[in-house]
Amino acid sequence: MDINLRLFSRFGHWASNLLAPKRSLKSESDDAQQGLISLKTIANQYPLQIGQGQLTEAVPTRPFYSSDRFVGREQQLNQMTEVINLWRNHHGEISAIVAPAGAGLSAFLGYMPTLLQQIQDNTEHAVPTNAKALPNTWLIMSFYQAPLSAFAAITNLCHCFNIAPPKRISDSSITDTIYAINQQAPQLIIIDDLHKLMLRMMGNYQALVTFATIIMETRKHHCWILGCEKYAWQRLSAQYQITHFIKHIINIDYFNAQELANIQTQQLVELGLISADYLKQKPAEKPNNHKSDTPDDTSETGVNPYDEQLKQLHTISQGHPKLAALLLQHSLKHQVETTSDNKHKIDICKINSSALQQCQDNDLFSLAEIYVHGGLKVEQHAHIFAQSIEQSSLQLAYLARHGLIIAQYSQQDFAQHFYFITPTLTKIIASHLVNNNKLFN
Amino acid sequence: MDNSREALKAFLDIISFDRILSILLLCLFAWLFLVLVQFCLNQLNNKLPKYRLIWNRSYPFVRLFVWLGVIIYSIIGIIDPHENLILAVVGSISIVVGLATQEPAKNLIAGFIIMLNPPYRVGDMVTLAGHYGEVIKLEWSVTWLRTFDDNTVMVPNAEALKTAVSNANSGALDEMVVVKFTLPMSVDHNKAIALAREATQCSPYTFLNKPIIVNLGNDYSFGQYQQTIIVKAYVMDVRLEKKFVSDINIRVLSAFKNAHFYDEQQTPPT
Repeated sequence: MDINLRLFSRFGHWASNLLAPKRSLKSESDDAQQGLISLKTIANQYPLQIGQGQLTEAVPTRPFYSSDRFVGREQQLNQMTEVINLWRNHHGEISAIVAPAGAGLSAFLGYMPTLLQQIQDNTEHAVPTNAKALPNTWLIMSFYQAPLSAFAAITNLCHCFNIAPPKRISDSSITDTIYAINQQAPQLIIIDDLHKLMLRMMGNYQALVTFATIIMETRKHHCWILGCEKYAWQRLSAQYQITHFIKHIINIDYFNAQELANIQTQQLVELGLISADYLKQKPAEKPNNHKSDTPDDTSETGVNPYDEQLKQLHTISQGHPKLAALLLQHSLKHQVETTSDNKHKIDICKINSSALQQCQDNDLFSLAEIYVHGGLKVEQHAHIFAQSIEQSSLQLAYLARHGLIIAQYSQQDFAQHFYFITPTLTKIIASHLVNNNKLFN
Repeated sequence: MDNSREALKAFLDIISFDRILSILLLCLFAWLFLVLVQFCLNQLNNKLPKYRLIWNRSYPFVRLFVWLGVIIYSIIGIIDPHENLILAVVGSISIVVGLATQEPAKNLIAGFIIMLNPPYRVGDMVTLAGHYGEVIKLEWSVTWLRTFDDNTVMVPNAEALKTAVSNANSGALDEMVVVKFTLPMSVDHNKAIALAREATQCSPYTFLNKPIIVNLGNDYSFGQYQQTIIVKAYVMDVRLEKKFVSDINIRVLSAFKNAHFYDEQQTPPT
């Protein structure tokens, strides 16, 4: 008996339509009433959107690599300390820190100077050995333009050390560059967003090989630390066997419930909703007798009044710190709009990801490439997908309209518009792409 | 049984309205259950396309066991025939088995063997009876393929056991694709290999977790010696096979043309 009867096929279709949310007719206010937040709303709250996403207005309000608000990562910090000590003891090897997008890799790298200072302090009290001194200078950098030739890779690296790059590429260019770099005073060089060096365009392979050769040959003299996105690292491992050259790989994941609660408690304190005392104690700890200065004095009970919301935040955001902060802020704001009573009883809004479900296969391929590359220009997208710039522009504009990616517009040329995954949505989008066979672990 | 009259009477006793209704109801429930299973599997396919081969391959087994259960329960639980009648039916089945050389019975038995020891599963890309396509349905007597021309081809299961079956992906979503290029003998073959490899790597459909292999060969055709570059790479999803082949051709040919490999005035490598 064949069960694919037309009647049941129609019934299935009707049932699907009945069960599926009416996406096209829904507005943001409808979502808000149901305790949902759309991807578009999330994207609109990204700081760049306030300035219409123009490249010239994208000035961060605080230092990009900031070590304030640093939470957790004790194990990784210990591993980093070991790596730096190994380098000081003449066992220098290249190290890599691998983390999914939005897990706080840049914040971790921003903490490196503080870590160096701690190592320095410990060294001063230790017995003198023949270990190298800690480097006087350190450098954190991120490349925004992937090199597409060996010459471009050499030039980029020369700029890092303030060395004049060769005027043209020759057989001895790499050797000369290695020699020149090794003549410099030892440095701690941290390359964030290593994945931005990888581009699916002709010439990039040779550039990466040149880049890898130079840093391999200078690893004993300089301390190289590379930060890379998890899925891009997977590609680098599979295609370039990068793991063969890198001895220490430190993995960072999204925050666990406790760490995320600490971060969000800080946010609640800054908003004046709870006392700063909660920052000094763990949620499960017994109350102290410290008096709170804030009007909302519930610290006498010892349990964070927003404990339930913090748990919800971790479940919904899956440990993504930026998304959790946004959800908390949005939920609080929405709560204030609806009712001002009983602030502790708010429900954290859930995410309506129907826009992602609507994406076709080619949209998902585009998202995967944008994700792995850390952003793409329109012309790069057109090149990767072997299509016209106009087609790419329209496709990317469609994705941006749904809040899945954010645009930084160029004033001169639409082919130079730069699109990147909405930072707060990286986890959601990556999970969807993995489930749809577009990204691989 | 003493005589044929008594045997007929016993057989007619079995056929009653209640029993027929019970069997029909049982079939209806089994059918509804299978519809529900297929609906759930479709939902799973939509939610987690990465695992679609796993869901799809389970359905033929579920269907087999459900209908087998219905048949057994109908005979033992509902009809409950006299043991002599069972012997008579067994005898009849023996005759059917004896006639298994007949095509339908042959296909049914072949279908059963395919389900127990499958040379292919639902979702695999196979060449069956001269047709290349994705296995979309595996039934007791026939296998349904969907070709890249969007034709649905029904192949009797006996064909699968009679002839060689070529399975391109064997249960995996990725699949190896082979693309051949021909170049004049004067072209720098090392450069050609490097360009072919990098151009393939640049395709967004290349499954980068598996290696890209580029082999060099030579050929004599149209009165002259030529080099052949064979690119072997994995596509991310079997359904993208043709798109991937086309994409590799576009990229590799563009790279070769940019390197002036097809220009008439070739300068031999120094």
